[in-house]
Amino acid sequence: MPPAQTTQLHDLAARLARTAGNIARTLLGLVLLAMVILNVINAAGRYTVGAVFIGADELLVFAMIFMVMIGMLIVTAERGHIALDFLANRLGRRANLALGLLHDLIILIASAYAAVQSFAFVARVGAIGQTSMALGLSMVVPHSALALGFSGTAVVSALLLLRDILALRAGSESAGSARP
Amino acid sequence: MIWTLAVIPFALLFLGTPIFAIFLFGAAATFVLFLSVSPLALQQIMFGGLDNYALLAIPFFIFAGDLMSGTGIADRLTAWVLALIGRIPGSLGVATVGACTLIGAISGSSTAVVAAVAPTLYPGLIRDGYGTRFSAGLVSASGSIDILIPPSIAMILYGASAEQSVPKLFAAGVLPGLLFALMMSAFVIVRALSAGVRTTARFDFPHLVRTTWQAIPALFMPVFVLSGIYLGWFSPTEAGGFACLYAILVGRYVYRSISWRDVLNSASRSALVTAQIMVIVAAASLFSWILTVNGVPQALTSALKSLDLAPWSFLMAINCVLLIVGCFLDPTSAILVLTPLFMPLVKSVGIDPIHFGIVMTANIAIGMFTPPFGLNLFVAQSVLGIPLETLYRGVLPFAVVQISALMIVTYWPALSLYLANAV
Repeated sequence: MPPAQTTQLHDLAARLARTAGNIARTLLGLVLLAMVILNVINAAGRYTVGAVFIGADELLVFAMIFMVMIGMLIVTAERGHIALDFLANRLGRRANLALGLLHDLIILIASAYAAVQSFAFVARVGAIGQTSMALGLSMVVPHSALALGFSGTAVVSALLLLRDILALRAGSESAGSARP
Repeated sequence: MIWTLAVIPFALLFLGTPIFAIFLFGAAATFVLFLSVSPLALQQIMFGGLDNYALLAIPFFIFAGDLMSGTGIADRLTAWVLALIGRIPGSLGVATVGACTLIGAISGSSTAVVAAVAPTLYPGLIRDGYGTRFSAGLVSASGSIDILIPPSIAMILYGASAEQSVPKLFAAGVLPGLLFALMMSAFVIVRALSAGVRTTARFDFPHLVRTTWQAIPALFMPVFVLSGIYLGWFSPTEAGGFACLYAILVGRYVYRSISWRDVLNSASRSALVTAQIMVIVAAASLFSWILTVNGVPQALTSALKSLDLAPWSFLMAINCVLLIVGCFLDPTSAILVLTPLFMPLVKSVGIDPIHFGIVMTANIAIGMFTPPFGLNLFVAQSVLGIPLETLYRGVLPFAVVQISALMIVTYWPALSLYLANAV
């Protein structure tokens, strides 16, 4: 593929990733706002009209779990996870890239393993037909949040890993060509 | 197994690997290499770690804190504290401590307090002659008081992990939090007097009335939230929801400083901060479950029992461990991993779990600004653009002050339990 076409493809992928990230961020914000409203209405309803929405607590917790898992994807993509980046701040560019590569690899392995176990667990819950206590919702739904979150994180970290490898290679090539 | 549960995780920690990934990787490696339990338990434990109604308070208080920063409430509270203090020696330094304490009663996050207060007060501190090192240390260390002042995310996590009442923990944190603030303020005054720091502020009654009027909606929020919890109107989780609604209404209609778009942006930001914390909650639940099924807490308990330590020496030993751990681990991970390990020990030596929760929280608070990895240091570095070495040296005197306060909290349980027992 000619270099110009590769750059165009790269730009398109970056634009798509940015758009998807923005949509997901907005969605997460709306979910949190909806959680606040439901929580307040439920508590206020208890005092004003003596009625509560059955299963509101369960719904709120499940919504939080989905919010956390979708948020994990974005945080992974933005490399925003809580970490002790003391060492990273003191390293040079190439060493930093190599360190990022290690982090991507660890996240990829851990998330992929968690995703496999999560999908297996979801399949088992589906087979049993377990439902939640208050809403009567199939437990496949809330448990799927973890399966989706970890599999998505594994995909995102695999893409980051690929990008880091390419950046590292490009760096060593340019360093090699710069040598006399 | 020591490799997968200790050596590799510590190595990865120093290499700056995301903390959730360290726990998950260590747990996955232990499952694959050593455990005979079905690995499906992994999903069940992590889901169980998140499936907790009490934890819902975390996104709500993060959101409320973010809204408060965005609406300029932090600035109004700071102006009010300064107007109240007037021209006492070191007034701006004391106002920094006071503002952090007051904003801590609104926000549940220490780093958010540093981010809100540091840019406002730091230039004034420099102008008054406190010096770069002292000023940077002061804003980083004062932010940590937030962890002891309710609502506190650390206390919610401890309550969920140790199965203790969150309202009782909130009540127990008030007096120790105020003690920390008072001792910090006393140190600032002594320093201001000895260094001849000039006092630019003055007491002006009309100014105090004006700033009080502007700060009333902000001041009412902690009163509303805490009295709602203690009068039994709502649970801490519901209080978090009301705090968000209150902050939106004040920001939108009283101060008119935020738009609906700002509210949505704040919600998105808070959701991501929640995700950062809660993935650690999920992974740390799994990691501490593995430690428990492998008998680590029991082994620790019997090892400690064989030493036949008195409660005071036990608490001293725990303080040393927590202070060291706090220097290296973030509060969420420290609480979630260490609480299940320490609880059997705490109960075996007859220490009140609520008092222990406050001791643990106080240690974690100090860990927020102690080198090399205190999170507040990185926030201060980021918002103030100060070299980390300057911050490291700047926080050391404040660490001594707060460790002295910690000793009082540790060996005077009534300070924590007086209000907790009244709930």
